Amino acid sequence: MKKNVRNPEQTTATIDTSVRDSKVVTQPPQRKTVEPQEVPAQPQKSETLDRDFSVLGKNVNKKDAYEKVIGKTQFAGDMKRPNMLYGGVFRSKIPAGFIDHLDISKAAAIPGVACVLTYKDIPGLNQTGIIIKDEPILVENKIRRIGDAICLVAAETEELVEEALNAIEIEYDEIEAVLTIDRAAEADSPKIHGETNLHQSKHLFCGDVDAAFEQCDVIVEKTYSSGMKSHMFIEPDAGLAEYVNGILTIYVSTQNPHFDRGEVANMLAISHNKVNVIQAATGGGFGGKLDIGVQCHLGLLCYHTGRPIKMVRKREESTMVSSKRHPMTMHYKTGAKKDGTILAMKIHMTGDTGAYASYGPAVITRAVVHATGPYYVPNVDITAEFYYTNNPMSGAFRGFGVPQISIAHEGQMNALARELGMDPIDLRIKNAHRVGTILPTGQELTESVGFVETLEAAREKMNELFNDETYQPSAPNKKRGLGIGCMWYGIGNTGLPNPAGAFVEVLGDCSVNLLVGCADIGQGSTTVMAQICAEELGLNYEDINVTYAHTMVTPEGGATSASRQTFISGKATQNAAYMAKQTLMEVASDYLKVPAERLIFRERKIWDREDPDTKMTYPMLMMEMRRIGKLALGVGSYNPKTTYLSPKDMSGIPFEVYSYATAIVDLEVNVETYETEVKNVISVHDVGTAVNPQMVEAQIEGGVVMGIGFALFEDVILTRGRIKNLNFSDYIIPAAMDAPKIYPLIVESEGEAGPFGAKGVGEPALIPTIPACADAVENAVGIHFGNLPILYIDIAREMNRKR
Amino acid sequence: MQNILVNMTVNGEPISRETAPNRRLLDFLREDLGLTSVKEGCSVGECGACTVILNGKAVTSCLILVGQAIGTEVVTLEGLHGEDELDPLQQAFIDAGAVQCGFCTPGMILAAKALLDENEEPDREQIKRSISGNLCRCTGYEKIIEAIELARDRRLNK
Repeated sequence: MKKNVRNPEQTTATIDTSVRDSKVVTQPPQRKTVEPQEVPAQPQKSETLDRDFSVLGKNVNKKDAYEKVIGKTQFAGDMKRPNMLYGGVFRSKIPAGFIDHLDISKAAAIPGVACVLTYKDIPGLNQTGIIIKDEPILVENKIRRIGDAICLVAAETEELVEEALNAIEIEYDEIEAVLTIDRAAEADSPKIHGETNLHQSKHLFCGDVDAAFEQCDVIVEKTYSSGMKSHMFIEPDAGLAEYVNGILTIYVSTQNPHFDRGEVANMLAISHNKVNVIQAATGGGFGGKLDIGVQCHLGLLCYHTGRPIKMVRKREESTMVSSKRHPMTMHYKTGAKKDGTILAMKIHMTGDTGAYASYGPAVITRAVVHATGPYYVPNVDITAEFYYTNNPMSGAFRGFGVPQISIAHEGQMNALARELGMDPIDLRIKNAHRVGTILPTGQELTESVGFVETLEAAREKMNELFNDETYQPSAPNKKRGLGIGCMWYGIGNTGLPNPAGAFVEVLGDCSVNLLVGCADIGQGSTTVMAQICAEELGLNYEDINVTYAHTMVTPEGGATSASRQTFISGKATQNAAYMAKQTLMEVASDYLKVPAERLIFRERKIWDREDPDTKMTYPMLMMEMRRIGKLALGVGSYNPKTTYLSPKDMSGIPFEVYSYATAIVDLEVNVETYETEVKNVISVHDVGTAVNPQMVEAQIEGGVVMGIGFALFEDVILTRGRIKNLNFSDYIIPAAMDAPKIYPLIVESEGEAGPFGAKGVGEPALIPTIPACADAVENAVGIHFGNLPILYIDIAREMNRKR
Repeated sequence: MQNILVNMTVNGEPISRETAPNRRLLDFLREDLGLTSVKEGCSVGECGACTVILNGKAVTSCLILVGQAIGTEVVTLEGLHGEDELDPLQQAFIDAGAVQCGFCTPGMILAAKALLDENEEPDREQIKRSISGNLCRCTGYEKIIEAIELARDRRLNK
């Protein structure tokens, strides 16, 4: 692991508040005074800064690994209950229209069919959606996409479910399907929701781009695009519902149990505490299990039958109806001085959000805020429009639009480097975010900006692996190229509150119950929370038992998305542990006759930092707690310090901290078959503090391979709103033979936000590999590709055109 | 549809059960025998989550009718470890950090087990090839490959 504890370079400072005035700004970013922020009862920082950790930074075994390797882990599909029913969904086969006639009587009359339900059976709200509730749980009349849910069936066996679904009779009144955003934008196109198909539009600006372009020596202008992608988590959506002591209990493969709870309760018009959502082991999510999947349908069937019921989607159904990555088109104009200083960017992007909003508002906002890339750009004008169509619903997918715009901002940097004849890494370092940089939103970066370090570490590793003499193609029919890509990524939801909580109890034997809302989808948040809790309390990792994502027991955790759980649930965990520790400190202070602030808690011992011989063991302290009748309890929460963004120019503080990364891709193109093969990838990530380096590496490696799939393989094929490639047989994700040698490197940067300075890596892991692949293909064959994925057929077409 | 009698050895135990002839080996193991480590990810033999070892070879159990498996020896993940001790592959998957969501893990370990039982010293390319029918969306395969290398070395007492 590469450790990089650095002294952030401070920019010489004068206070400058004019950065957002409408004049051309050509000076380097200036520091401005930061208003004192509200600080809750905070854990002590002394141990944070010297990084002398006893549990953090250690590669402890993941909490869930043992059960998973012996095959005992229960995914929802593995669960069974006595007297259990099976559920299924009758779905629309057309992309747009109205239900003309629906007859469920034959299906309902089949012996062994418990019920067939329609929207009329919903007692409460028939609307769902994470941000805008525009999706019916069961269609009332209007169909907006292929796969819209119309009826539910519960039956004694899976075969009877199929029989009942086939016995439902429906006639449609089909209307024109809106299949492109160009058609969506036309005045006479059918409207999918309300009066307009414009889902959202955004405008972010600062400085004066037009005047700034006048001062530029070089201008690069290009259009980029990114196709629709499918998550292809290996476990299809699944869940089981039953009543437990009168509480509707739903075990489900999910990334956001607390959201699920509210949606199910609202649908049934019951209070939220009458629904208990327990996350079952979740076989991958990547954003695709953030929306409501089987939860409401299971809840409604269980409510009407009173019996346990299970739903497991077939792969094709799962792919058809879960959200997809937004297809986007991005037009970029970038202007710079001869020395490489970027002065201005003008950007316009459009996206297809499909039939329902899902996370569309988050994707457009995040894409706009990140559109300049991790570079200081003083004059910016960014406009964006997302449209509803009758295509599959686009939503959250690892990176929320940032992977798409990274293709463009990195494509521009590489084009600019070529235009200027500059080294692409030098060009990036010249313009890189640093502590003190002012963003286009007006936010000043005040800490934990390790971008330049990722660039330098990537260059060092690249020079170590490759040199001009040995860097040759492996065969005469191959061409080889190196490419670079970078990214920045704000941790947490964009300019919105998104708190998470934790409860801690230290028991008499020094073991700990930690309760967090945070859903662990395999990335390892449970392990991370345990490490943070143990570090703060001065106990061992093995002392911590974690109960998670169980809505009747654990506090709100928010979504496992936006790379937010280590940062936000982690900080909530640290705060909860610290509250319990405050009681322990008072008691230890009395017992040892040492001021509380001098006490060190570490590895099950407590001592006076000025006199290490004045000490006690943790079991002694817990005995003393019992003697005087005190409990070590803690409640913690954390909400990142952000502001809402201005509707006028999107100014504000969208995120409290940002992660940074640089990737170098080494690939070959076979000039006879036009196939690409990625051979080596260096991926360097500034994660603040690596709580568990092995798990950070695992995130990076998984992201690199998913990034290769994004750039070179994966594309959802649509015909009239229907996905043609629904299964792994024709939606090709990388297999082991496609995986390159990966060099994951970790940069640690200093910051006081987050638990012990930790940020997030889940989504950043994916992003930089994508533009780096595109750059490597360009360097190998000398052709620019702005539309991703770059399939062999694209390379064949362009190379033949060039010949 | 008349039931058929299925005799086979599963995880070392002789099994004799009547079941429907249209059941796949996957359904028989999961539903009839309760061996839920065998996962269903795609139902078309592409993802490898349902991999089991049948007569020493790693196979996708979603593509095998139970009748085709009569008289065979089948091993699932439940049959890999003893009472107190994990198989070297299971331990290596923990130690190398090769487990994330865990849905591909049973099939991955069994594909690797079939490889190591046939070739006790495979190289990295042979390892990659042996798991190329098992898809993983979380790990990027690197730590899985490292885990198999680690288990290989431990089995050879390296």
